[in-house]
Amino acid sequence: MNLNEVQANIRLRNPWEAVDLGFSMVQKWWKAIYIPLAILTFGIGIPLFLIVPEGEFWIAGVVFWWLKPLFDRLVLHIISHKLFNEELTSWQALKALPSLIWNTGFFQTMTFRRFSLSRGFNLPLWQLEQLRGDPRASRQNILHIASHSQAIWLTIGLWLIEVILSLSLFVLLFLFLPENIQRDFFDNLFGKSVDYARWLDILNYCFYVVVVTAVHPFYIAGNFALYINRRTQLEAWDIELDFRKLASRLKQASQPLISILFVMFFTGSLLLSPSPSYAESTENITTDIEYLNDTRLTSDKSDDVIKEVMLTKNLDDKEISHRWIKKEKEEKKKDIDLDFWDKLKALLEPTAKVFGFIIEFGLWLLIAFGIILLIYFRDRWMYLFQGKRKSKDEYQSPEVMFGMDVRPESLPQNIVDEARNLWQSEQHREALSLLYRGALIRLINQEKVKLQNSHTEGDVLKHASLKLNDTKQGYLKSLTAQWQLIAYAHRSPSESDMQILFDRWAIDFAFDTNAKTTKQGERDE
Amino acid sequence: MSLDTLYHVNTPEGISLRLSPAGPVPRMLAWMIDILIRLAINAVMFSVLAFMGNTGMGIGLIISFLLEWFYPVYFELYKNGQTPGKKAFNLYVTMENASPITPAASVIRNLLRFVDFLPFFYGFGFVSMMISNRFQRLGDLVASTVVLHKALEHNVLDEIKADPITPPVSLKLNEQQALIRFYQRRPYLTDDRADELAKLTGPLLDKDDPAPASRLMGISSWIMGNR
Repeated sequence: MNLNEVQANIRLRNPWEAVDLGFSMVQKWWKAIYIPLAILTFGIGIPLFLIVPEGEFWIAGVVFWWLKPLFDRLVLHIISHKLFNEELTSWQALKALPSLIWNTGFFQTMTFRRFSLSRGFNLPLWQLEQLRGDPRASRQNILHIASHSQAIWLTIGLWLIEVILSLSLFVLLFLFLPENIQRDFFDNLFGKSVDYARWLDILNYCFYVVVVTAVHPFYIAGNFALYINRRTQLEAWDIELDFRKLASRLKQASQPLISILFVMFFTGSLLLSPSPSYAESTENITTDIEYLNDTRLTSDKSDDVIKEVMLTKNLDDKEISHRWIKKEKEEKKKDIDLDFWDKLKALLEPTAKVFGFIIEFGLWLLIAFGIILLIYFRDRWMYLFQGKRKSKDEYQSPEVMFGMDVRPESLPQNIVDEARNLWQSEQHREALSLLYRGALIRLINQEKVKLQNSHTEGDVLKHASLKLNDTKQGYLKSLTAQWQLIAYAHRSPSESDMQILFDRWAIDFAFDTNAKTTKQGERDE
Repeated sequence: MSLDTLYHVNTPEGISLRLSPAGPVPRMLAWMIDILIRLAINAVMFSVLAFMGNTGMGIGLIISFLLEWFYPVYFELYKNGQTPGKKAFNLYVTMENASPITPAASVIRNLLRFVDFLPFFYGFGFVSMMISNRFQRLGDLVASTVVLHKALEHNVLDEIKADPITPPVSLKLNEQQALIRFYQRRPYLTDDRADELAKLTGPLLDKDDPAPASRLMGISSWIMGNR
């Protein structure tokens, strides 16, 4: 194998790109591949068709499928020769078939290796490297590290394409039939004389043979390219090619008159016969990947082209955006007459400085004077801050409600006894007034109900309900009712009602809630 | 002229862009991922809309239709030419001159799926891809678009430290690139193969250098910019 003769551009590709390179090989060398392959496939397919009994063409199909490894070998033989620039006639390719059958592990592939999904990828090891046994297994393992999954998916993918294309041929045939006979095409043409199923069978087989012939080279070439790419990865073929060119250039430079011969033999050589010595001259080194275009335009022309291209919608990246920017007025003023302003500035500067100093000093004095004034008259304004706070936070309890003195000092020692005395001496109004006053004072001072002198009896009840428990609130209600009765309707309450009010005063109303609840709590425990 | 899948687009600056069209197999597998995604979306959508009875079915069919036809268009226009399937296989759709795909081209190439789909599951599409130079299906040919392999970015490998050695002669650009590639891929090569490769550079090294690979690594290191 002579790497210098390699017809494909050797570079490191990603695996799928490598598969595509294989497809390109088929496109480029299609004549060399398809003629011998078609001879082989039809040479096998037609006799099979004739041998197999009528109505059993599926057997022919299966046999044809089973023989695919044979087609593998022919295609690989052709492509590998083509890749290393060895011309191969169809006859030569077909003549190599017997040796391909005997020397490529054909019988293993036809038996237990027939169902391997990476058959095509492994084939070069058998056929080109001629490896067997453990060395083959270990080498295969190394190759499989990177490209195995692609090889498997390539097999599956091309199998699907085969199926799709065979079915496509069926549908295509159906599409091209004239419309009026389409519906009962098979009936009219074959229906009466020939079995419908048999014709389907025959067409199926024929389409299969045609499709396999068409698709198979893609499978083998894709796998072969994948294999080449994997070896390029492992053995740096691309670097080797470049180093050889480098060496030949350097030698040429030092010994310009002598043409340099070199032969390259490869370890584990691919092809059976080494090619003859190959003389390489500098003219041959043209396979560099051209990153630069040969037909470069002149700078004027390329400018024009660039401008034209930049006008297309995709590249015209202009956009209008609005935002606020501060106007720079000072700069504009300076622009008007720079000299004039400079002169003026020079003239005025000393005076301006003196004035500036005076004004600044005056301002400082003013601030100091202001601060002194503030301190001197602090009483005038300090209360503003305090006063506000007081009025907000502090609640001033009223001293007079309903024309009654509600200061605690105004109460007698024992309200109930005093009121009883008043009641018994027929001073009903005073008695109730004393009791109600006592209740109000109690609400204000003990229960902390925020009463104001503007409140009515109803307001008092409402406010008290927020703080009092049910018992107290009940007592207050009945007391208020009696008070209102005597104060506004001038009707004395009954003796019994009054007795209840006097008796329940201490029990229901005039006690400390917290003290009682704690007592209850203790009792519960 | 050596065989490659690449084709070149020349920019006015005289730079030639190398573009690598993608063939039928990776494209088919990418398509299969996309159809699975669409099927999953449809399944979820219909099972939710089934609660709305006939109305739901109607809405579902409309959405399903839009999904089928405009799913690729959306991704091609707004996701750098990559549907999720294409992204999984590092493929992307562009115009033939490698400029971003235009809305018109995207719509055309996806509406013409109908033609590629004939006669049965992209039968014409596959034939067209296998025959055409840039693996274009009919829709691609009409819209003058192409599906390309995205060049993967290779990380700079700087694992092996080698003392820089000034190269004895001046080297051309592609030769320097070869040395850099040697430097970067040295960790993946066996020692024997590395020596073998290094000897191939001939006059660049002494004939009886005991460790040609490490000396060449030194020179490569110098070219990499280590001084």
